[in-house]
Amino acid sequence: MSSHEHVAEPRAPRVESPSPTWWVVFAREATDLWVGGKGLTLVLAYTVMLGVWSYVMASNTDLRLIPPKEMVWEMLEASISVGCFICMIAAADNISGDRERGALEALLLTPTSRRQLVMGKFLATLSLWPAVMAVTIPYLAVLSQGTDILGPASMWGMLTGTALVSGITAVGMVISLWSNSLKTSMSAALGLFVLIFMPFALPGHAQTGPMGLLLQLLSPLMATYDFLAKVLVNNRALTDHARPVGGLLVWHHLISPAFFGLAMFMLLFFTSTGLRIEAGRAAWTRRRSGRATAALAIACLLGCMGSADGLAGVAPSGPAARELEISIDRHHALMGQGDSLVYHTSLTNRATETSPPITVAMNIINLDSRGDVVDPEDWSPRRTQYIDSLRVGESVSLAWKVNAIMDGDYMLYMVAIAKPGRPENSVQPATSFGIHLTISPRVKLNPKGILLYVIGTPLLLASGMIYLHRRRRLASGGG
Amino acid sequence: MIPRDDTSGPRASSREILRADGLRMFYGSREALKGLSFSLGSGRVLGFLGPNGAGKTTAIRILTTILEPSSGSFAVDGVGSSDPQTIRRKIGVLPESLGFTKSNTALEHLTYFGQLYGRGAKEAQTRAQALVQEVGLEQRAKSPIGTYSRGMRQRLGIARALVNDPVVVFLDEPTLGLDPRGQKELLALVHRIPLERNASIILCSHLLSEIEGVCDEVVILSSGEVVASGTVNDVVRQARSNAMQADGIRVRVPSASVSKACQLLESLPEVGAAVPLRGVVGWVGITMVESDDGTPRDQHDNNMILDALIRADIAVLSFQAEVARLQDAFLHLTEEAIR
Repeated sequence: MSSHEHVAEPRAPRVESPSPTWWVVFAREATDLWVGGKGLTLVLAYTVMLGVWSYVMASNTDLRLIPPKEMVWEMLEASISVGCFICMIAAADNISGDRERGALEALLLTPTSRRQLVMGKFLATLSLWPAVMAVTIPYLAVLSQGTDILGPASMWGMLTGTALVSGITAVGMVISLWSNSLKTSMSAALGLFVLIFMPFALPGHAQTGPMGLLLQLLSPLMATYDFLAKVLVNNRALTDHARPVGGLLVWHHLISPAFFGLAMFMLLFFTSTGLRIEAGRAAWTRRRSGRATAALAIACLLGCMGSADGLAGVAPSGPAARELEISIDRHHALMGQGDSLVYHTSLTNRATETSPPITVAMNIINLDSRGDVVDPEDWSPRRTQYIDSLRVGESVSLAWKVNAIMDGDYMLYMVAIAKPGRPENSVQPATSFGIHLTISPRVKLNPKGILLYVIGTPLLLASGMIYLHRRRRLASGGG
Repeated sequence: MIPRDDTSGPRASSREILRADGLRMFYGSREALKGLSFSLGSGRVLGFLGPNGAGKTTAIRILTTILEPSSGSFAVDGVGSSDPQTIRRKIGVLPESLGFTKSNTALEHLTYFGQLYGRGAKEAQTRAQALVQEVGLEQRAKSPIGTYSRGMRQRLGIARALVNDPVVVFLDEPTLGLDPRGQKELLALVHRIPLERNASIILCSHLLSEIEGVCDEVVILSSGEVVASGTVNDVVRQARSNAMQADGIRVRVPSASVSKACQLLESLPEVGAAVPLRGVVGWVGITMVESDDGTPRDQHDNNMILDALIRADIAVLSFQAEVARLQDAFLHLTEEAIR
């Protein structure tokens, strides 16, 4: 070896760089959640419930008539609701439980940032949601019965669900942050959960019209479920839901959950600095200026959500709409072939004089360009109704019945025409919002495939739990 | 009990490691801490004493940056209380409530806390292994904490408090709920911390014998106020100078013989007074007559008392010849503050 030959210098020992605190906390908390068994137990309970529900849906002769798309939608709704519930309960337990168990003090004594601690815990709690979705997807696959709905259902369910569950988890964490005891945080979280779901318990007519809009504004869940129904069941294209606002297309149904998720996350983000041994609010919430800023932000948020949801209710306007106004009590219907639908229209005279006689007629159009021509007479025993006249401001309600003769995708709409005064005159008819009819063919769900999932998934999870438990016992030197 | 050594090794060091100046704390209109001030040298052990509600926990929580004081300040190793993040890097705490996750093992728990102090995963794991050995938990290091005894959990808590090599360690009731053997083992572990790590200790305990045995200095709190502070001997002396009962010589005889023993002892020229002690059946408190020049009496006077009782055929059930004890000082000082 020549003296000039290069001799490699011994490598300096690599200095290990520490992981970010939020990641360390997330990794530990997620391990405790899943390996400790709480997460698996919750998901196992959900799987059993899901299995029973799916089996009943698939094997019951009457329920089997429900179209697969609708079943998938129902299951997706259930999984989002359960995901919200599980995550909210786990979040409510998270900080106040640690506070009660004395674990929080030890964490607060370390030099880690409060915000990073909270964010790590938040992400660990949120890890329940992908697990809920992961066990749901096989059931969706079975229930979708070969239709092309599985992909869109999984994607939209995951996207909208993530926004909702993130928001709900953040709310649970904030409650936990501000509660001194587990009992308080759990009671508050459950109370809030009931409030969020209360709109679904209201009668159907209360969920439409201005009241429905208000509920959508208050309940991002309703907006999400409505969106999923339209996209998954009613075969609406995304562009159907977008409204132009300031030159941009805005998906108004998605604004509510997206804003909710973001707003609640931001609330948690900014209040997380108030994590203390005794429950209390962050310093900024104790300042008048901080509270005023928060109130302004919430007002802006509600304003945005309101205006976005308000777009959903904007009726097409025209010259006739100013004089005769016709409204309808529903905007969509999912039906099986051979089913009947009863709906109501309301006709109001907005003109400054008493109206002439009015004819109100029902029309149906097949939205599939290759579909059969629809003869409304076949679909409704009474497709035209007559009104003598309406005084200024007077309204009249009319009931209608339509029978689903053929399967497919249809739009039903109402037209009100005031009788022209002279032979040479014409009038602009008033048109209602359409009812989007999605009529499924008579298919029977094949229940054979479902049993595998109904029994297999809980068994698989239970086996995982037993394996983890045994592995820990062996590692600790137990028998 | 571990003997106190006021002069040996690092414990004699005088570098100031913790200083508190006028710490006050209000909960609404109630003042829980009324101007706590003290200082602690490096490698010293300070006992925090006080009855329930005296403000000990509030004081510890302020000094460990869990609570913010209403006024006043403190500094740890030169770092002021306005920088709690840095202070947390310098202190270790064994809180009264340990808050372990039962499904975690000791190694997992210590590794996690090592990472929270900014160590990489491998480094934290190596450190955790060393710590479980240091506290004698290596045999059960991979067992879930849920299976540990109370003593093992306390030792793990001490290991956690040492995970960042602190300059001050706060121990809140470390022997609470332990059996005598467990107490002894834990105190031996506590005693090693200043000697081996030159870390100072603040020890909160209700067991006065524990404070007496381990601590160099003591702070007695009552109703949020410091009623005495200094070395254990200083505090005891201070309490005694505030007119304590007797010199601390006590003898326990059968309750039927108490009056006989009092009469007999008072007849001795070296004894000034012998009176039954209130609240403790069978105990007689003895005050010796001071010598003419005020110097303490000969220790052999104790033998003379015993000899007289034995000759009179009075059974001696117990005899305490200590001049005065911390317990007396504690009871006296806190009672006085409450009045």
